[in-house]
Amino acid sequence: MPSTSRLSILAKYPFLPEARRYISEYGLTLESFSDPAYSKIVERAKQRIVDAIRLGEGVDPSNMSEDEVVELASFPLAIILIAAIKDRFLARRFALTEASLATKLLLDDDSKTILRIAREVFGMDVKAEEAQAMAHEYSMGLRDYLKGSMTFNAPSWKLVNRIVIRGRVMITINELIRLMKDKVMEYVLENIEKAMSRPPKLPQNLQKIIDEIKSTLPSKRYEEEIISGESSPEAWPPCMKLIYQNVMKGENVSHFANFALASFLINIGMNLDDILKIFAHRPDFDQRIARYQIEHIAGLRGSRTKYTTPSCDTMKTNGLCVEDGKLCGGVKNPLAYFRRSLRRLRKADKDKAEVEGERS
Amino acid sequence: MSFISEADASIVKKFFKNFYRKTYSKLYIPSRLPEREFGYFTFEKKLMIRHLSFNSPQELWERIIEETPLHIYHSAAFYKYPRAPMDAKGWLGAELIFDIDADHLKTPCRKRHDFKVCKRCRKAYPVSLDLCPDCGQSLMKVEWVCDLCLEAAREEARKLLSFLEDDFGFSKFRAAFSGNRGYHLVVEDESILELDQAERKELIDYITGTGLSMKLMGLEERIIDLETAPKLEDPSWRGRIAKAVFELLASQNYEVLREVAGDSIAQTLIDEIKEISKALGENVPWNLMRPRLRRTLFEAARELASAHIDVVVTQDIHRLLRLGNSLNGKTGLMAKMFNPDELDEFEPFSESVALPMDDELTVYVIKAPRFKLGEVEFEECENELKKLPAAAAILLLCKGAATLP
Repeated sequence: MPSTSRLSILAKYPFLPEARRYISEYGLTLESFSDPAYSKIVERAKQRIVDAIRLGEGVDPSNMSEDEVVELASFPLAIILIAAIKDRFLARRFALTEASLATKLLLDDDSKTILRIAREVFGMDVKAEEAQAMAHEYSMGLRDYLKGSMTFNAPSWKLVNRIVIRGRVMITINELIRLMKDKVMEYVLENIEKAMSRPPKLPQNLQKIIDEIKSTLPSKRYEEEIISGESSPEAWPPCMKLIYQNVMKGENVSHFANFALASFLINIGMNLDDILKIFAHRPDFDQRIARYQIEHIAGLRGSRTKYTTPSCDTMKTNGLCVEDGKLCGGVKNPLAYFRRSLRRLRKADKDKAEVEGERS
Repeated sequence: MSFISEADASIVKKFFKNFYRKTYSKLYIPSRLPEREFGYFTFEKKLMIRHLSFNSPQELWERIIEETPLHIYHSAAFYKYPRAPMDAKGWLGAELIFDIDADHLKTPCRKRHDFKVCKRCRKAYPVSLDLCPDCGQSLMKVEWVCDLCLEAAREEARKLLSFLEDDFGFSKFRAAFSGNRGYHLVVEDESILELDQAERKELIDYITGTGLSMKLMGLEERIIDLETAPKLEDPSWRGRIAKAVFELLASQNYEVLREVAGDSIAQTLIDEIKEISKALGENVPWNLMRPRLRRTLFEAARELASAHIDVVVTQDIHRLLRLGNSLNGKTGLMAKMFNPDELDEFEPFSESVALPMDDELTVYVIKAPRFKLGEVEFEECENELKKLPAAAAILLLCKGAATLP
């Protein structure tokens, strides 16, 4: 039996490789969870998922079990349950929630532990800096920093505003933890994927929990087939299709890409509720904030200017143009592509109708 | 292709062929040769022949000697299938490339030495004309390059190297003169090969100072705290801004200031600077400046300290790059490679002379400003039949500034 202090770090960070080893040494199998002796673990696993649905990033360490074995073992179990529910949105939301929980715990932890996890678990090129450059206690290798910070939009994350010395980017402990958050999220998602690819047979009590959770999920989110008629993605330019697909998959989409898609959808005349349903696929979706932002872009709030869709040049500058516009026949704005293909689609429909008309 | 006549092109081609026959083995062979895409222009066609690849230096040499290209390029990228169409090549990574071109720099000499030529009448005209006043044909522009242009480009290359070494910590480079108006710098460090376009854009923004925040440097506060404001000894952009502002104050060089702020505003700022300069101590007296001066000096410092690179080139992960030590068809000069540590000593107009100086050619010079090749200086001349060393004659033929009589 490992020492309590050891258990403690595993319980806090159940994604550590040692945590996995500990579980396998403990000899837990899925069948064991039908034994009421382990009901606490099952309950906590369920709680983790419910927290993901209800709280998301607002998850609070106070919900953690005091029993550390429960805390530790409920994590992989929750992953198996999430995989069995097979809902990509929930999977991402769960990953985000677990990552947020880990972040909150890391913020309270000592720097040695944080650094060890960053380096050994996530392979981050990070080290403590003896000669601290302007209160930055740590530094990260340039490449890792670029890879990690690309999705952040705040000017303070932009490389040009960092202190960069001989290939090392100076960061604070809080920034390191923020970068680790994405790594935890990636880790959880990968493991859900793995569990999805070989679904195990679940004992009845676990299956029951899955059904329960499924029934509490917000009824049918927006699926692709719902968009039909004239605003169907079929007529959209490749850049918008790609952002749309990434949003629907619940992937991280940059702030600018979100703005571009929202302004595009507003300008092609999709109604605000439908747009909102699309953005509900974001793992960090917040109904209230998203509605405000979309209404703002639509010119219903704030400055009351309706935003136009960014031009192809601007899309290019932001790295969102697909294949350098080769597929778009020289349009200057994504909206122009849409109008053009709409005309084509209408004409095709008309032709079809005429052919059918002849037949009858 | 700027040749005045086909005969001009064919004599230049003859010299190029001789050069490649003799010195093919000095051509640069890029690493992982079989994974690179090659492309070239011939003397005859305006279309680039590309999507080529070579498995060995011998294969490449044979093709070059046989075809005698006007320009030869290779990809900075490595591909699984370099001969496939663009979207099927299978991108494996790319070196990080930089192009500094005097053409993008606001050199004052340009107005003096550029001109236009009527190919039919064989006469030179000022750049402001579009059509030949005699025959009405459209004129061809001749862009001249002088020591001043290349000095400006060298200064940008120096700044670029400092960003790449001092800030980014890169250590494997190669450098080359472009053979015309600038310099090429290539980073070969393993760690950058797989950077995508967006990540390369972050490096570009750093080098060009794009998105640099005055606020994050603590320079937008009403009362400046000298402890947190940029100081001369600071690393990174903070130090660059402090040094450039300090120099502006110390040297009282107002030219950049006028460019950034406009003449009307500049004068009041200059009075303020004179006042501050009197009490200039050991570091930048940010606290003594009014907000408008602070902002103007910040902008001027950013302009001075950033490296002016061609951002499109660096961001393009499929870009073709002139082959090192090959001839540039716009000048007949060699795209000479040199050790980046010796940037300061490199002499473009002598080290890149690759065609014979002892062989002579008689050409009709339409117009040529004063220039120097190797040790030889050539006086300005216009509408004159001249016997010139082959390298000089070919420079003029390539530019369309001279033609065979």
